[in-house]
Amino acid sequence: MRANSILIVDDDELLCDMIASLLELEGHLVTLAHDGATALALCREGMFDCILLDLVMPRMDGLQFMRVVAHAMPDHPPIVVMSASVTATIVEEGRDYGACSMIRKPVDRAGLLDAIGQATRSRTG
Amino acid sequence: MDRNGHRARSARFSRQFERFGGIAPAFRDAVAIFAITLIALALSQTRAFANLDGLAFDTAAQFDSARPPRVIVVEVDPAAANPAPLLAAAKRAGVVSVGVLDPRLAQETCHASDPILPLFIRGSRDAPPASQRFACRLSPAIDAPADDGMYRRQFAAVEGPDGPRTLFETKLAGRGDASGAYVIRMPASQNIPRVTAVQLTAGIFAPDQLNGYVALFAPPSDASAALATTLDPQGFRTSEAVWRAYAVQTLIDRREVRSAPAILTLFVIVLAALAGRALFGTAIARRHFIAACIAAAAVAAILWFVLLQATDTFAPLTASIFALLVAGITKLRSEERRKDRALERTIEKAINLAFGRSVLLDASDLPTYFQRAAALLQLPYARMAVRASGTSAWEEVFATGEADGAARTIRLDDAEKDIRLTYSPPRDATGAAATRILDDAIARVLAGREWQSRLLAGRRRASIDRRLRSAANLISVHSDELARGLDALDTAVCVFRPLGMPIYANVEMRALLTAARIDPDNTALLDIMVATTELGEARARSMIREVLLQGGDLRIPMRDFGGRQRILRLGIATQVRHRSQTVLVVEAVDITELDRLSELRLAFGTFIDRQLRNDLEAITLGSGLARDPRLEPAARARILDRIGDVVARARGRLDEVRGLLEEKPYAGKDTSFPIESRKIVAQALDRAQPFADESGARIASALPDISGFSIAEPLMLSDMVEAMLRIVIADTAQGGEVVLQLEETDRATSIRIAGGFGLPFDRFVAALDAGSGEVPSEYQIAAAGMAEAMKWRGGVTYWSAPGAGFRFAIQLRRV
Repeated sequence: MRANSILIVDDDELLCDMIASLLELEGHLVTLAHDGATALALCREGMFDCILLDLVMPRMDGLQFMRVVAHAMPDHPPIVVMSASVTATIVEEGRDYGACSMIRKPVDRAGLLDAIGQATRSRTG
Repeated sequence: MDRNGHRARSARFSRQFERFGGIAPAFRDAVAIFAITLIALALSQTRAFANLDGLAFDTAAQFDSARPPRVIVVEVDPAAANPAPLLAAAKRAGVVSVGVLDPRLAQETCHASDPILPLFIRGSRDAPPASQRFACRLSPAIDAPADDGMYRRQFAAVEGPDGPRTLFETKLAGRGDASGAYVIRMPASQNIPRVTAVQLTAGIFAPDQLNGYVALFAPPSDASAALATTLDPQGFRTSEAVWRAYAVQTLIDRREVRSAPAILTLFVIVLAALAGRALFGTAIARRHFIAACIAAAAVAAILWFVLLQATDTFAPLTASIFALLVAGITKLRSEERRKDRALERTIEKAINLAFGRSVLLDASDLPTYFQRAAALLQLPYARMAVRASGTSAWEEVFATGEADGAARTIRLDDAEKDIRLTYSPPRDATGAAATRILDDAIARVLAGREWQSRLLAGRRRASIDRRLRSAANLISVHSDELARGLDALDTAVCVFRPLGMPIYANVEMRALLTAARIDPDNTALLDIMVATTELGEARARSMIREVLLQGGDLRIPMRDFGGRQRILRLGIATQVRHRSQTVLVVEAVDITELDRLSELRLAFGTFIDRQLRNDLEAITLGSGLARDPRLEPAARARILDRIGDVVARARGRLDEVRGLLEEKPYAGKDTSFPIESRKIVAQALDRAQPFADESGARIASALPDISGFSIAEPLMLSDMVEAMLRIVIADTAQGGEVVLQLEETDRATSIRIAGGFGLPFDRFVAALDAGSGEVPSEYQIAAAGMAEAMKWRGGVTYWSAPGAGFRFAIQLRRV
């Protein structure tokens, strides 16, 4: 598997740490952000192959983050949304703002890696 | 006049009565007292009461006390008199001055006497001219006119060309200071000695026995001349000499009685009128009217007598009693009118509440009423025809369906019109029930109309006989009980006659119907059902008919009013013994609380689902990683530590939820639980938005698309946010902006509301502390929410300053 640079955006630090460990174990380069505003700043500075995004976050929630990113960075990395609040409305809104896939929590390891793989492939392809 | 005209007249009467009744009683009293005083004063000043007052004075004189005599009448025969020894004898006896009544005697006296005593000659055409030799002092005499033939008044002085001229009696009494008219005191017990000239000259008096006396020389014929005076009102037996002697005695004693000055007269009359109003305002005086009148007059007479004796003032007794009694009687009349009005109101209320205001409304528009009834009961045939009384031409008012053999005709005539209602009952099984309901409705309409016509009869009091009063009072009491009972219910209730208007809607139902823009008094059940539910007219009519004819009750979801969810329950209540008392009961059952319980369950479920999902995910991922052989031991240890942290966090969340549930049982707004703050704030925003639109204010809201969980009671939070928005919007100029922000941080949720012009902080705090009715309800809701927020372990801060606007910040705990 090709090593990708992945930005994980989630206010749940424990979960972030777990996912980061998993992805690092798979050889990816992982950066963490615990709210939308920090994530936005990181996106402006560095190049990521994929963004793993939670929706419910303080200060700037996931949908707002996607809206801003879509507006400010038309060529933004693919976004994989993971949330416990995946409803039809959110799926629709997420798609509008460029989310390439949605994972309902709790995510399983294989599903997560598969979603990231698909996202990074779509970007390189 | 048609029924509408009748009603219009009724309304006009009612308005007039309201207007009259609306005048403050104190103002009415003041007007009455002013008018009565004016009349009594005018009568008094025109001496209309002079004779009556004189009689009172004569009576009082009987009880007057006598004083030591200071005047002696000496009967002198002018033909035989020798004045010199007479005057000498008088002087020897102690007489200090002499008055001479007879002109002839005066002439003799003047020519014969040395000026050993001051002499005062009653002036007249026959009086001798002033002598150079003797100091005869000619005094003018003028007698005051008799009061209705009675001589009790005299002048002290009269106005002459060269100033006031003291009259005979005044001079004789040595009262040159006296002036004007006075009333002579003539107590029956007063001693005025009378002697003859012979007796005087014969020396019957010891020297100085008459020390300080004034002698009045009068001819015997004068002594026998008769005047009607206080001494003997019924006869003419007081001689002029005695009458003048009393006048002199009165003046010497300085006890002349003066008429009360105008200002005192006014004061006394006003006082009497006030006393009359006060006295006859009491129930006892009203019950014992005659006795009260006599007692009042007696008290007035006693006070008048005391004033007379103490200050020698002749107060207007008759005018006072007149004012007292007239004021009392008018007060009595106004009290009776007030009671009549109260009774009329009682009867109107009785009709409105119990017998059926609905009946009067229905009776006022019979065509609409019966047309609606025919539709509701699905009568196969109904027709109403009207003709003016005394004419032959019938006019069809409405007609539905086709006549058949089962049709029956009912007379509904009133004073102006002949009215015929013809209808056929339904042919199905409901026919009997429909007929009964219709017959009951007709009976009520006729009876109600009878009440109305009696109430509005021209002779109002006469029309309200005792039985009617009793019935009205009884009904009114029962109506009040019914109203109180319905008002005490914790639910919105309205009672209807089966085919008519509302009989009574309790406070909650009135508020609900008003919110739905429905007149609670003049809207038929069918219209209320259509307006408050999603039912169409046909469906609503069918449901009413079903309940009416089949009994039981129906439940229909209501539209949302005031953010509350309700079920409209329609049922029928019939008293077995009085079928005509069948009523339809409409209840709006608030199911919001049930909904809140459901919301509580959902909120906890959602919270556990979403929050614990994160923790489960972390544990799942962590355990998978820990098993991965590629992981370094140090990294595995860290992962295991993280799993431990997640488990602890999950346990903490579960403990918190359990704490919320176990802390206290569900108690409405006192309970807090995890909520999605965005959803609650958005609801409040939606409710406040129409008010902002009306006010021309713009709400600049900044809400996240998705929010986490915070601890609060959703309804209270929503009400509080809405109230705060309304406070700010109400204070925002047209075109101004109101800010609403919702922000979530790691540990807290913040809701900020700002805008408006602002109040001084102390006034703002006072408004939040103010009680019900003193400030708009929004302040109370906001204050209640602030208190509740403390129970959620949250908090509210607020600030306000003129020009800087309002600031509210609600802090909620996140979970």
